[in-house]
Amino acid sequence: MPNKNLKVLVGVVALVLIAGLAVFMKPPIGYNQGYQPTQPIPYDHSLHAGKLEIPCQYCHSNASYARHSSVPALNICMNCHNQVKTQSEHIKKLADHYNEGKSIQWQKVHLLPDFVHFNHQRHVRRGVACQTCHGPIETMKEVFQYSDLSMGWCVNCHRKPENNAPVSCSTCHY
Amino acid sequence: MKDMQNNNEKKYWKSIDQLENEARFNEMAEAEFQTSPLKSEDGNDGLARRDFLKLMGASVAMSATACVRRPAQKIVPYAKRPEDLVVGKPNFYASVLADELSGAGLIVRTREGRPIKLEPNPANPASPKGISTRMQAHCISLYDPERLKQPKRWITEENFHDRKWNLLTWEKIDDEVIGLLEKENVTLITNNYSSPSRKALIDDFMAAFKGSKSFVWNPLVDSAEASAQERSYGKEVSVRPLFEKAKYIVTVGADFLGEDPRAHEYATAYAKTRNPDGEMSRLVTFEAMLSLTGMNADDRIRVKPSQFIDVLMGLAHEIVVTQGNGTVNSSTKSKLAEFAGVAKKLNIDEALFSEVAKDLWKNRGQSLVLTGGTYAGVENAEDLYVAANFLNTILGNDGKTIDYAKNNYTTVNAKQSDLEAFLAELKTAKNKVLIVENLNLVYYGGETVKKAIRDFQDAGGTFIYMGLYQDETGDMADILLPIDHSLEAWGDAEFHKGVYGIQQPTIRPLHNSRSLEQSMLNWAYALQAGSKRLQGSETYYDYVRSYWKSDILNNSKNGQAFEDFWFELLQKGVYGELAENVNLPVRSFKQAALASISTAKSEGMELSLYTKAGIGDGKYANIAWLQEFPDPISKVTWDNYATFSKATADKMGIKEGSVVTLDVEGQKVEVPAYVQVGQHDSVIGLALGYGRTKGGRVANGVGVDAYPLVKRVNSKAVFAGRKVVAAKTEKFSPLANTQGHNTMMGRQIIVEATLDSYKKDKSAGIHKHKFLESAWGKHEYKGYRWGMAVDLNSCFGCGSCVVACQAENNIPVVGKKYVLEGREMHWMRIDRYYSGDMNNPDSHVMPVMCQHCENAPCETVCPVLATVHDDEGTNSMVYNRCVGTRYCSNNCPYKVRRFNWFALTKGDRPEDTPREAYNPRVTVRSRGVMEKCTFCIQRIHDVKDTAKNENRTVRDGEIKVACEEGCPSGAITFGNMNDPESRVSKLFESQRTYKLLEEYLAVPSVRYQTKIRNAKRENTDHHGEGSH
Repeated sequence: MPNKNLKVLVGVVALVLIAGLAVFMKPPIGYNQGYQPTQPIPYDHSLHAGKLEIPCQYCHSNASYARHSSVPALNICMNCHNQVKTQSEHIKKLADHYNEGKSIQWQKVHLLPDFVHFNHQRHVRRGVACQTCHGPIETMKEVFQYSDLSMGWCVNCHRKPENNAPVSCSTCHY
Repeated sequence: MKDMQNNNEKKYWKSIDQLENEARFNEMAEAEFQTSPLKSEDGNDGLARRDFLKLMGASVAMSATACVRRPAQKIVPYAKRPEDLVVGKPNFYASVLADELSGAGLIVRTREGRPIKLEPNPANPASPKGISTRMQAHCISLYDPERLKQPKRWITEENFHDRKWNLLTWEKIDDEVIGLLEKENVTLITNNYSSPSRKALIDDFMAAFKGSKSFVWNPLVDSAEASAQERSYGKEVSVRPLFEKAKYIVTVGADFLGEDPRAHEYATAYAKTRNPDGEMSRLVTFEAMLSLTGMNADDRIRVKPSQFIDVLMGLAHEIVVTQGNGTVNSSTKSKLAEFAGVAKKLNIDEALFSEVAKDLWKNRGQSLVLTGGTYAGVENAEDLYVAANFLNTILGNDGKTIDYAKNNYTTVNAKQSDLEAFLAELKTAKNKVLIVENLNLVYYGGETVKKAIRDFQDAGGTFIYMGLYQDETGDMADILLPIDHSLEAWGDAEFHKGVYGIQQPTIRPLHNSRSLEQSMLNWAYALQAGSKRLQGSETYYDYVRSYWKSDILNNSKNGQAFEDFWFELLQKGVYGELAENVNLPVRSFKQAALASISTAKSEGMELSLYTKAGIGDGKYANIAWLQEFPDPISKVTWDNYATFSKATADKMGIKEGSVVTLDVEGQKVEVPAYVQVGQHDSVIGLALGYGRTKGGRVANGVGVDAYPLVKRVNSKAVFAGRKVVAAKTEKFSPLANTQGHNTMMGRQIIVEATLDSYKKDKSAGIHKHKFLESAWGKHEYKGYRWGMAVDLNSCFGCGSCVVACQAENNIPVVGKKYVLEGREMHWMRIDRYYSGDMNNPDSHVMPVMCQHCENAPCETVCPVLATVHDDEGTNSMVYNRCVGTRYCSNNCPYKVRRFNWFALTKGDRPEDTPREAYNPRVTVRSRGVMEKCTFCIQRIHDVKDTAKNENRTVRDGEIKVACEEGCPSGAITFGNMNDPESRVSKLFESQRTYKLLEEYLAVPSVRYQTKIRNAKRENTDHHGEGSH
């Protein structure tokens, strides 16, 4: 029955195609590599960190003190933007929020799976450059997720003998 | 069990079912999980697990094909970040908890401005270690969704038969109250407090409105102590027992390790005297019910409450008359003669009784005779105290182990007569404004109080209730005002004379609440009434500061500038020293005080009302943690019950859960029964604090209200010794008991030895196995290797660690229904075993948490490697991997693993922990995963982080796990086993150390030290002599 054989053939080809697609697809399914949401204020890292060369930890000041690098509070922005470019509509929006004591709700770019604990402090103090995980952030007009942040990606680095990093499950999972 | 015992060995048993080897027990012991996961009604709380998995499988398949992004999340940073706050790091504030009958110094752990856990303040000289279960749970009462949120006025409208609540603003309320105060005076009644500033403020306010009166009362008042001091020594003082100096302690009804409001403080002091290598103290307890003190006593003797007086006077007779010690006058001698032969009369071992008397005399100046509390709250409680005072005087303990110089500090000790005076005042209705603050008068006082308030309202009075809840009392109020939680307001406390603590707010008031103090200041200011201090303080904070400046700092004459002093105070939390060496002369005892003492009458069964370590007087009944906290003695959760001795229960045909009717002079209650071994055969016990009707969604309907059974007449509150008639009914109401299951199947578990055998052989009682060879290779630990030592000799079984662990690790409450099915979630439990004579057994307690085995049996059976060993010796759970096969739990010899059968953390049930109270540092687990003790791995990580930042290794004692921190007696020690100098390594070297179920070769990282009992009873070794 050629008709039936054809059906089987089409089915097999379709499966192979899907499998091939899965292998070559980047980013892999489930990881958000390349995720680039639109932010409420188009904050430009390529200007601040790139052109103006403001050190990362000027704003992300928590990074070497706590687990979270934390998005800066508005009072940090206003340190400069009290004076700088106050006429821009985005800065006006920023200043309004600041004066009303209202937070800005940024879109979260890097999202770890549940039950995983990551510690910025340890990595920053060890001298791991921000770019190692976050990519060339100083060139990004709009931030996107550079690494896939999968467990394999974490462990690849932790396993390198020169890093002398722990690979116990309980290092991150607890 | 049976086959492992032979006759000359002491038999350890965990419940009566086990002792009698009932079929039900064996069934439970065999089954790790008592119910099928496919139980039909399981779906009632959401989806049944199987259904859930089916649906989940479908949704996973769908999401994989559609390639959708995760739901977008937001990051919301501060608009203006507070200066001292680093996101993700806790801030700590020193504070106090002062609204119990005593106070405790606290360190409040806050995260991003939210208090999440209370920890003891080691700087507090009065109670440097541990905090009680109720204090731990106090933190989540802050977030209780049923707290009173708005000021309310109950108004009568013409068209309505019923009155109804109107929400009002504070301005409106103030207008009304100020209008009233212009014309009328106030009657104020509050709960006990120990705050000197508050006392000064109330005094100032009362002085401003002449004719106003203030009262203090507490339902568990112990009026007898103070009046007995007056009767014995001519002066009413508050005394402080010094346990750390006592070598020989005799308690008669007093439960200083359990029920006493200062139990956590006493446990710390008492534990210091229990070192078997030093001079170990001895504790002899005479009591009617089994209490925590009785469980830990070296010798325990059962007597009825009405016989307590015979015991005390009998001891005095034994010492003075029989043994001819001490000097007394002839009338005292003839009085004591009435109590000759008490031991025989009460059926007490005569040799033991006279030995106790001899030893008391031998240890004179270093012994202590104690009575008091609700267990000893008998009709003639004052006589008990007088007799105890007499004994302490002739033994020369007064001034040595009893500190009477620390008297008359601010702690307002209420008396029963205060309630009577208050009710009399209310009856005159002279003062038209009644303010009740933070005291659930109607619940505690019952119909009498209810009627008095009704009459007062009918006579045109205005009843203002200030409280945290709209409870039984609040429901009757005309004006209902929310007060600040103690974590939201300023305040202070005087723990002991000259030892002060400052209460700092750690969060802004969550609701539209205002403290009594602030209201008083506002009202006095509006009316331009009162002293300069009252007028000059805009807020209570100003008032507290000015009080500390004028009354505490100036009196101390330490010459410090106030601002410096204040700054230091806020950092340290406490001020003042507790005298270490008290050596005062013995006060002269007025021997005439003994004249009126006589044997108490007793007929039939006697009632003994008591409070439980969790619920206490019932104030915290709406905190689900405390409802689910297994009672340290009975291990029952979510209920109170009438306790019967085994013999009485058998005689009446009562089993655990049979409903009985108790008739106390016409007052009847119907309550399930519990068979409590070790209880006196003629005593029935019942816990107070239950049976709330308007306590909140958690509290309502749990247990029965026993307050109506308290007899309050003639300035006395009688809790014990009343005649009770019990009758069995046909009804049955199961008790959620956590004890019958999770058993360790009768193997050597708790090791105990007498002091004598310990002195001969330091490893007495420990059964040694000669050939223990493991098939497993050894792990290599290059850095740290975490271990924990649990000293059974200083564990009294109070359970503070259980609630501390719950608070730290976001452990859910399952509710009565699931406790009955054996699904409680506590990561650590206190096992309690009995041994020996079932009428008066020895009790043994043992905290059990995950043992973090070197060769963990759970690890080898997990099909998905969700539970694995880490390179620092802990056994970790990887929640992401866990698929919930529960093999690990099945293979765990210690039964310490807990499975999430349902999503108990969604916050949709009243008993769910409020979201805000969760510790953000610890994962909140959900349905379908296994969990267990992690050795507080988040705390290990945090301390390791600090150490790495400072380029050093972790210091010994730097990591304090939650249970260790909560323990008042220092029974738990955590540290690095790889460091030979650490406390844990030292303890592990001790010959008293043993591993639980060593023969399984699991090699636990938690190790126990044997319990040493300073008693003569021989052969507590139960696993045979020698080794094999």
